[in-house]
Parts: sequence; structure tokens; C-alpha cells
Amino acid sequence: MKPQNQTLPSLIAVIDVGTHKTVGLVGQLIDGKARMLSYSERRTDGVVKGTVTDLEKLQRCVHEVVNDVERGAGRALAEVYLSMSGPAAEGERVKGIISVPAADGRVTRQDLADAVASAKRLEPPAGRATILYMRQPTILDNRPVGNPVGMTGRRLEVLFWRVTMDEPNLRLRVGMVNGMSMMLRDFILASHAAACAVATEAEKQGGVLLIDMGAGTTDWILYYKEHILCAGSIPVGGEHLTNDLSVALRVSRETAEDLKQRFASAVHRDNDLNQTIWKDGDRGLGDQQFNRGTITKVSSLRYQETLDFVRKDVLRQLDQIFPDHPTKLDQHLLPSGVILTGGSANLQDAAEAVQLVLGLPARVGVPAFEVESFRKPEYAGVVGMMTAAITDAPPPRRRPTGFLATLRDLFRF
Amino acid sequence: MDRAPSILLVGLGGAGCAMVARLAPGLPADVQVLRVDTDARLVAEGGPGAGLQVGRAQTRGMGTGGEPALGSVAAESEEAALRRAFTGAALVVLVTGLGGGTGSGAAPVVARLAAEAGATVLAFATMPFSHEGERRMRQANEGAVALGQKAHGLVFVHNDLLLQQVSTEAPLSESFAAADAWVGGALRALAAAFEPGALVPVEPAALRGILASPGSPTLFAYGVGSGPGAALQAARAAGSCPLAHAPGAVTKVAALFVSVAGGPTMTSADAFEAVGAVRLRFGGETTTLLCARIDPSFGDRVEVSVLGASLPAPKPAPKPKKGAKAVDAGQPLFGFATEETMRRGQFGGTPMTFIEGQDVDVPTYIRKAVRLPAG
Amino acid sequence: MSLFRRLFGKRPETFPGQKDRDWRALVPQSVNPVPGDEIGRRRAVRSRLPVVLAVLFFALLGGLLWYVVDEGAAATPAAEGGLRFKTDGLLGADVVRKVLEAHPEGAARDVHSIKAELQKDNQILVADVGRGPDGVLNVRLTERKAVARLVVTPPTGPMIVRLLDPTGVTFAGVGYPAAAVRGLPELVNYRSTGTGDAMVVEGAEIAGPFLATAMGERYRAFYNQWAAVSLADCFGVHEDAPGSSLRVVLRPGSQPADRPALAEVVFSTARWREEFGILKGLDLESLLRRPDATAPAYVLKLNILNRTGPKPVPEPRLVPVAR
Repeated sequence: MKPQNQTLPSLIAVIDVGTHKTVGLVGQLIDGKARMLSYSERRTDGVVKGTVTDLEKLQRCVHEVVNDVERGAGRALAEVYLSMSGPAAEGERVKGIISVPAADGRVTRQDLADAVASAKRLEPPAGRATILYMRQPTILDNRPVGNPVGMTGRRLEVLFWRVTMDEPNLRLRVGMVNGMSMMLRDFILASHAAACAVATEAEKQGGVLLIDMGAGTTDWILYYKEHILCAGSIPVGGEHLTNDLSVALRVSRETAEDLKQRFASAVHRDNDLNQTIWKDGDRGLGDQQFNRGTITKVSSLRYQETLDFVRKDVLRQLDQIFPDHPTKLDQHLLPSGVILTGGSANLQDAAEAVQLVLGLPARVGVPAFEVESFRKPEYAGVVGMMTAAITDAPPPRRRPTGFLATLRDLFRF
Repeated sequence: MDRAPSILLVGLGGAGCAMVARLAPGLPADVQVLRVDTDARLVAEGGPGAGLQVGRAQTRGMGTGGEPALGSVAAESEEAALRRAFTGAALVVLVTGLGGGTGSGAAPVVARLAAEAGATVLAFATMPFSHEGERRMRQANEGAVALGQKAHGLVFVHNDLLLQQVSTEAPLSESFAAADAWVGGALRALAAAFEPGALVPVEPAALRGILASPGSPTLFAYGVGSGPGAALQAARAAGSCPLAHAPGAVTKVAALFVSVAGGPTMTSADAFEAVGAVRLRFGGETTTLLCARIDPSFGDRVEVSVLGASLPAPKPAPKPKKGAKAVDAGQPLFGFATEETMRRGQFGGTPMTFIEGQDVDVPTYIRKAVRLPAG
Repeated sequence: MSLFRRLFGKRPETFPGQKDRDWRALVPQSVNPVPGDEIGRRRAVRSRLPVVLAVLFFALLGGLLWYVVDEGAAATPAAEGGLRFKTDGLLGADVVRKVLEAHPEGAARDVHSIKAELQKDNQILVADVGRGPDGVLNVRLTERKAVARLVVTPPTGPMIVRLLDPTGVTFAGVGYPAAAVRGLPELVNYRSTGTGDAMVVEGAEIAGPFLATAMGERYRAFYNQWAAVSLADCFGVHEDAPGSSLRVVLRPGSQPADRPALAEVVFSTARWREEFGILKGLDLESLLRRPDATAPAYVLKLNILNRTGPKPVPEPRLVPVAR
């Protein structure tokens, strides 16, 4: 729940802490659009599989990113948005049901407010705190409607997708930001942010499944009729791919990472077996040769298994939502198919693998951004966070002008 | 009677006893065998060596039913008998299957008792198949951590890897045969070290020196070769042994013990060539102990066994650092390579993730028993 | 669990309701303004640096301006003699001129030495001497207040009247009109050593504050009736004794003629402050008009202590004047 009286400062700082990299982005809100001021990227230290293993290293890494963007933007940051993803941020559907009190069944604004309040009254699971609520379609007499006020019906259901985080993780993140002398303005769901960056309005309206496959985790989020229907996370990511290759080929992690980026594929084809690959490519001393088939077999097995986990998770959640009729993942539900983002979407033939496993058309989503180097799937999260931060917050506050501010600018360098 | 210091092979739990039973016929004479289990029937049924039933009061002659707590209590109840069994042994090789009750629960206790009795403890532990489910995997993980802290050397045999060794149509017994070959080879190599009359002898105390620190990752590899150039072939086979390529296994060690055994046709030049190849592959800059022996029954076959560990770095003088956390007493000497990182690779230290009962950190192709194309 | 642990140990977290589940309420943010590590320090310095620089810049600018002006001021000669004189007393500007003429440099003299010279005069309490940018000398004097007058009879020459200030310092009283001097009560029966400005009056350390208090708003009415203050009973055998007292002689013409006059009021040196209060509380008129007040003049003794009880109670008494 965001306090309504807080105004958005004109500087928006977002930090996306991932398993592989931490990206910080600072933009300025001008005429309702975000203009980028500075950005910075570092390799994340101390996070494995989406969970924090070494807090000190992570703090130092994030602090360095903050330092860089501050220096680039030329202003001190007071507030920052943080991403949340992976197993830490779990979501569930909450429902608020009221029967319409009016005799003629007309729904008033107050009724809607009551239903919303009743939905938000539900307690989250033990030891977890509510982070945010995302609106889902309102249901009036089993019909989904956009705005029920003024319509007639008997039973009004208001649905929210509630994201909770467990307390130790929450304290960790808040403590980390506060320790850097900044205020944590809000959390932003990483998959939702990625969707803001790569999914169009039309796609969200029709129905689309977004799969953000990062280094440590794979987050997915399903949009239907422009609202989020459900979301989830699988703790398997690009790191597992690299690990698999490292074990199978008996090479170090760095070599495996390099081979993965060059030769791995999400789909194994038979004629891959005929290809031989040299690790360094110069056939010099210490060079090793590998069969391309081995590489693609291992990577495709892991990739498709992960997609299969996603499929099972989506189906499970859909069954919970629509218990009466079994849903199938097909174009009827998701006409816009699947959008794939995240670092692991860079894998060869990834879209084809999605088509194989999920049976839906897929495309790789790339964010549009001013900076050339950010137009890659792995930056969808952080670019989208900027958009999500603007849309989810009230209008901006004017930057203070005046003698003191001008003075401060004079001396800034 | 004053004789060469002895090796005691201890099979613990159902899987361990079964493996010991299979190995016993091929073992050298001076390796003593002890089978330890809670199941009275298995212990009494015979098989080679002495049998010791533990936990009479706890399990009443039956198995532990997969409860490690029960297993450890059972072992502790027969402490005196175990200690008696361990006195006089210079080297105790403990073979156990982790995941069950006796294996996971009793193994750390037995290792501790053996170490306290003055023996060097080398443990071979098998990790369950991915398909055996979450509970067994978790218990195996915990048992492995505890065992790693008590045993001087710990070698893991992942059952999943065994399936990679045999073709898809082969019967299951064949895959276990691969594991038997490895452990058998290790035992023969170690026994040879203690035997007088080798081509190049090795002091048992020096061998002990290599394995001396609990908690440091242990490397084990085994290879065979035959025909001309057998020694080099065996060395190369040892270099690509799957045991040395388990997820996260250490690839370069500081101290090595290499044992080369061959037929009468093997020359010392061959042996040294083999050792050179092994050193190239595994390191061994600080110490390399070489033991070579001639066994007439080998013919033109050559067997190379490699055992290695990294010696602990000398502990630096503790510098008071701002905000330094208290050192965890249970942590081994060097933080970078704990036993768990050795087994689980980069995922050591994070909680195990189970989806549909399988540990998803283990590579997919291993769990699905997909055989990779050679090369 | 032991009682101690239950009472003083960490309590498990309890969530009373929905409101606390919201993460902002559950984990209130307390931004740590002190940077904890190296990077934080660098950031803090970088964000504060502009303000610090601005402050320094303006301080420097201000200092520079001040210096320029100050130096400029010293450069202009102060020979042509502007003199701005102000005093809160009765002295005239010729005091300063006399000091200036006494020295060969004249008006161009150093400000501090002028001030030192001026303050040698007892009548001047504090002299503020400064030189303006145009070379004009600004002198502001704070003079001593007179509470009583003294008559000094030197061995040769006529009587001199000097004035006494609350701290016991005597001064010449230059510029005081004669009527004002006559209006001040006279200090009699005092002992003194030294002459002129260096005169030290014994007993003035008691009489001075006493008279200053009397001159204040509260007791001004009494003060105006006083003709003299006698220190006769302060010295000698009475000195520092319980009987040591200040005798205030009232002016004969200051009282109504149809009742016995009040000739004197006797205060004790130890407790004259409380006795002022008692005096103010007394209804003198009714006391003096009592039927049994038959003597022509009375002395009011404020320092009689009624010691009949455990705690002595002050009891002022009217005693007829002994003829």
C-alpha cells in the first residue's frame, strides 16, 4: 500500500539486484517521460540461486553501483527502488467478496471500497509481510468487468495478486538500503518490471506469459485482459546451465560459461553430433576439443527441463484459479503466446524450445532504451523498473529552485 | 606378533556391507574386514570377515528404517566394541551408503571412534540416486557434512554417475560393478603401500600425512590400461575418471599418493611415465608419494590409483579486523573448499532445492540418466 | 524456560493485525545518516562538498572585504578632529579633549591608550573608544552612579565633596548640579585612607549596596527621606558584631508635623535586605499616631530579635530618642 500523500521526486533511482549482475539506473522525470541520467553495472557478489549467501559482499557491490550512478548523475540519491524476484517474493491471490447491499443491486463506490478493504484484511502467511497488491479484474456475478461502479449484480468479488516477502529477507534488504543512507521507496516485482519493458499493451490485453530466465532464477508472470493473473518463480537459472556443462565436459566454470555462450543451444539437433569444437580455437597447447552434440544435449536437457517446470507451475496455479474447468496452455488462453527475456533468453533457439515444451508461439523480448548496450534481454528488468516506478507513483514534485539550489549547482562538479 | 601395520575395511550399513561382501574375495590377505550393521540377520548371515551388530537395544536386530538419529545412537551404544576393533589398525577404510539410517547416522560416529583410536580414516560414501527422493537426499547431505568433519579423507561416489558409466541397456548390477572396481582398486593400492617388498616402497606414516586433515577435499581416481603402453593408458584413464569430475570436485591437489601396479613386464620407466602423466593432470607439487608393485597375476594389465588432498595452509596469525565475525568452530581450516562445495560445487552453502522430489542442482543429464556421446 | 529468560529474553514477534503486516509498518525505515564504510564516506563527502565549498567561498569573500575595509580605514589620517562623544552620565566632551591634548600625537593617538587614559578617571566606569572609517573618534562613556555624598576634610584647603558609587568607589562628580548633590544622603562617620581618586572608604562595601538597594524602585520613597547614613556603629567594638548596624538619619522636614517625628531608622549590617522588606510592611503612620506615642521623636530599630522562642523573630521597635 503506497501512502498517497508522498509525491514522487523527480529523480528516479532503480536498482536491480540479480544473481549475476547488479544494475543501477537513474533517470529524471521530464514531461511524464523518463530521461536517463546515469547507469552502472557490476557483477553481483554474494548471491547464489537468488538467495543471499554473503551479505557483506552484496552490500559492497550494491554500494559501488550506487556510488557510480550518483557520480554520473551529479546528485545525491535519497530514495531508491529495489527489485524483488525469485523465491523471496512469493505471490498469491487474495479475494474480497461482498454481496451488493442495495436493493436494486446497483454497485456503489463504497461497495467497491468495502470489497477492497475486505480483500486486504486477509492475513499473509506466517512470518511474511505484504509488499504490494496488484489489481486483477473485478468479478460481478461471475462476469469479469472493468469498473463495476454503476452496474447491477448480486455478488461482487475483488481480486488482488498479493506479493509477500519473508521477514528476514525484508529486514536484510531494508537494512542494506538504509545502511547506504538512503530510503527504500518501494519494491518492484522484477517479472512485472520486465513485462513493462518488453510486452506491449495489446499483448497484455490479449493474454501473454512472460518468462524472465535469469542467472539464478526463472520468474514468470501471466497477464490476461491487461491484469496480472498469476506469477511464480523457479529457482533454476543460467547458472545451472553453466554448471551442467562444467560437470559434463569436465572443464572449469569460466570455460563452461564461454562455451555456453558460443555453442550451447536450447534444442538438440542430430547433426550437432558431427561438429567438433575446439575450446580456444587455435588448436595450440592446452586446447581441448569437444563434440558440439554433447554441449547441445546437456544445455537443451536443462533448458527444456526448466521450461517444463515453468509449464507445470503455471498449470498448477491456473488450476487453483479456475478449479471448475481444467485449463490448457494454448492460444485460446494466451493469444499472444510467450515472451522470453532475461540473460538466458540469449541462448540459441530458445524461442523454438519454448514452442516445443509449452506449445505456444514465443518471441524473445528486447527492451527499447536510449543506451545501445541496454537493448538486450538481460536488461529488460531494470529498464522496466523505471517505467513501473513511474506508473505506480503519483505525479512528480517540482524540483526546488531558488537561490540555495542554484548556489548548490554552481559548486557542483 | 610384530607384523606390518594393518588395514581394516569396514562396511557400514546395508549398502556398505553388500559392497564389502562383493569386494572381499579380491582383496589382499592382510586386509581385515568388518561388517557393521543394525540388521542382525545380515550380520550373522556370514560373508567374509567379522560382523558386528550395533544398536541391539534400539533396533532389536532390525534395520533403522532410514532414521539417521537411530543409526548414530546405535553406533554409540557399541562404542567399546568398535574401539576394540579399531585398535591396532593403522588405516581404516570405511565404506558406507549415505541416505539411509545406519549409513548417514552411524558413519560419523564410527569415523570419530576410529580416528580416536589412532587410525587414519578414509571413507568412501555413496550418494543416493536422484530418484530416491528428497528425504534421502537431504539426509545424505547432512550425513556427508558430518562425516566430512570426522574422517581424514572422504571420497564421494554419486550413484547417478554410475549410470553414466554403463550403456543404457546394461543391467543395474553392472553399474554397481563400476563402483566396486573403484573401491577395490583403492584398497589394493593402499594395501600395497603397507606391504613390504614393493618396487618402490612407501612409508605408511607418509601416506597418513597426506590425509591428515579432516574436512579438506579428497581426490580419488582410478584407471586401468592393458597392452603396450599400458601404464600411460592407465594414467590417462585415471585422469578422466568420473570420480574426479563430480560436480565441484577439486581438480588440482598439493599432495598425491600414486600407486602403480602391473605385471612382470612393467618397468620402472613405465611407472615413472605414468606418474608423470598423473602429476600433469592432478598437481602434487608439494608431495608426491609413489608406490609401485609387481603382481604376477596382472599379466600385461596396469592399474593406477591416485589419492590426493590439499595440505592445509598454515593458519595465519589472527588479525583483529573491524567487524570480524567469530570463526565457526565447525568450519574446516580453509573456507574456500568445504566438503559441501566439493560435492555441490558452486551451490554449496545454499539450501538444496527440490522440485518433484529431485535435487535440481544436480545436472539434468545425470538425473535423467542420459548418456552423453563420447568425446 | 526459566523465569529470567521469560522476563528478560527476546520476545517472539507477534503480529497483532493487518496493519502491521504491511512491510512499511513491520520494518520501519531508519535511514542511517552516518556512512558506515569507505564508499559511503566518499558519497557523503561528494554530496556535502558543494555546500561546504559555497560556505567557504562566501566566508572567504566576506573576510577579504572586511580586511580591505579595515586596512582602508587605518590608512586615512585622523588628524582633522572629528569627535563624537556620548555618555550616559553628566560628563562633558572636554574630558576627552583634555586627554587628547595631554599627548603630543593629539587626536592621532592610538585608540587603546586613549581608552586607558580615560578609564583612569574614577567617574568613568567604561570608556568605549573607536575610530570610524572617516577618521572620526567615537567615544562612548559609561559613568558611575552616585548613591551618596562624602565630605572630605583635607589637612589643608577647603572641604571637598565626593560622590560614592554602589561598589564603594568615590569620584569627583564633575558635571553634577549642586542641587542633585545636596539631595544625595551623606555618608557620615566613615573611615577612609588615601585621598582623591585613590581614596578607599572603609564600610563602603556595606553602605554602597545598601544605598543602591534603597535607591531602587521599591524603596525609593524611603530613600528620598534620608539625610545621612551613619557608619558609627560599624566599627570598633561593634565591628562584625551582632549589634553592628547602619543608622539612617531622616530629614526633619520630610515628615508630617502633627505626629511625633521619626528621627532615625536603624538597620543591621547583616540583615538589611530582610529589614527593607519589614520596613515596607510596617504601617508607620498608625504606629506613630498611637495614643501612647508621646515622645517628640522616635528611633525605629529594625534589628531587634525576639529571642523568647527557639527561633528568633524580628520585632521592630519604636524607641523614644534619648534627650
